Amino acid sequence: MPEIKKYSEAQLVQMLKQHLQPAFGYLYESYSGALYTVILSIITDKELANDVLQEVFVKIWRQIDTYDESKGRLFTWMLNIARNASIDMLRSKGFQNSRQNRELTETVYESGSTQVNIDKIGLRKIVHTLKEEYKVLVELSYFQGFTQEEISKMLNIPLGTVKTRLRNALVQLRELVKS
Amino acid sequence: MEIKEYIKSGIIESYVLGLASAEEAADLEIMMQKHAEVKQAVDAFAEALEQNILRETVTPPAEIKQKIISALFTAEQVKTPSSTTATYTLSTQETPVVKLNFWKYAAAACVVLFLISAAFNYYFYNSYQSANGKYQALLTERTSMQASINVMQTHLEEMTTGMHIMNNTETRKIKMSGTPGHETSFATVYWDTQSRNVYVMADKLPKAPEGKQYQLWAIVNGKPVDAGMVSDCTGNFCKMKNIPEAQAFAITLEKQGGSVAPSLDQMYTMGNV
Repeated sequence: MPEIKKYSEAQLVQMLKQHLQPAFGYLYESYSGALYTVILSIITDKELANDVLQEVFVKIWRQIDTYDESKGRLFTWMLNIARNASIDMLRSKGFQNSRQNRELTETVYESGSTQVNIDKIGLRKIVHTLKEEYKVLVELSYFQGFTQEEISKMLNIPLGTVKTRLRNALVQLRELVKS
Repeated sequence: MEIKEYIKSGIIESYVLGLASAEEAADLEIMMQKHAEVKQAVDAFAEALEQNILRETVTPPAEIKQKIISALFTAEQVKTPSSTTATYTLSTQETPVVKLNFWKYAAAACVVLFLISAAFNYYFYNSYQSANGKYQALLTERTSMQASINVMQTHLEEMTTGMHIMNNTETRKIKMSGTPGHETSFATVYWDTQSRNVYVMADKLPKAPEGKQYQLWAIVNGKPVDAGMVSDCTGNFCKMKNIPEAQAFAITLEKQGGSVAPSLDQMYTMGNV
């Protein structure tokens, strides 16, 4: 394997902010897999996930000037772009239509070949190990983008309970992430 | 103590995962600036999450990278590492990739169409210029031809009139021979005995000098009477004044505009009726 030059995060950010094209290649090689995995954990359809991934990298490249190092790591910022773009896609009309179509074809062919079994990798794998009452909250809030108010109504649980339970779920998630 | 509780509350994770409300996030950002432990906790979780996610990933299809590169770098200006001073204007519009491609092709199509149109414009402008030049030349030619036709027509009318007068049986032809010293000069008077109109054909006279004109005289009972200036008409066949009676006609060279009495030493031709 050819030796790939390693940049520190600060160096990479600086290069990105100068819009140097080699920085894009490095960024893509380093993070496309991780971001794609995150997108797939929300959008299971590969075709749509591909579109979202493109959109995410275009956004990262064009909005890098809005990234503020003092507020967190570059990856965290990109992760949030990827999650928000995926949830936007989830809410879009195009996705609703494609899901309906897929449900129809699946009933006929019982095939899910374009989908990845995402429960086995990444964040989903961790969330999968949470206990049921936590899992549902993380699923609805993180992977489906519902607000705590919406979840409270959907599950018929008081808002305060949703808040506390979600916080507890996240604390446990941290322990799992660390290990 | 309070800080430790805060760190353990799950707010750090909410913030990093993008689940915190705007208010909570703003609070945490202030806390990060005030307390190094909060900042450390945020960084620690973010890093652990990053490591965890990066550990096991799904590689996206290979063509995606090229698609993004062509979307980003064919339309945008690419900066080389050496030029760090130039300012770069960033397009922040959130156009989806598919649309970007569409506009890229649309822009390319526009450029191509514009170039074709410019070429046609150039070609048609040149054609127009040359056609207009030819048209102007034709217009000039036509005008000069019309002028020649008018001249010819006038001549023809004069000649026709002259022919009629000459052929008329009532017309008398008076030949005026050159006087001594002007033997080569010759002119003819046509005198309509009915209407008493006088015409002269004076094409055998030397060219009148500058400031001088030939004048026709009728000799009536030995006295010269002015019959008009010969060179006032353009053609060779000139209508002169009406002369009711005359015994002879003569032509003298006079000053421009004619004289009251003829300069007898300047007589060129003379003929009796």
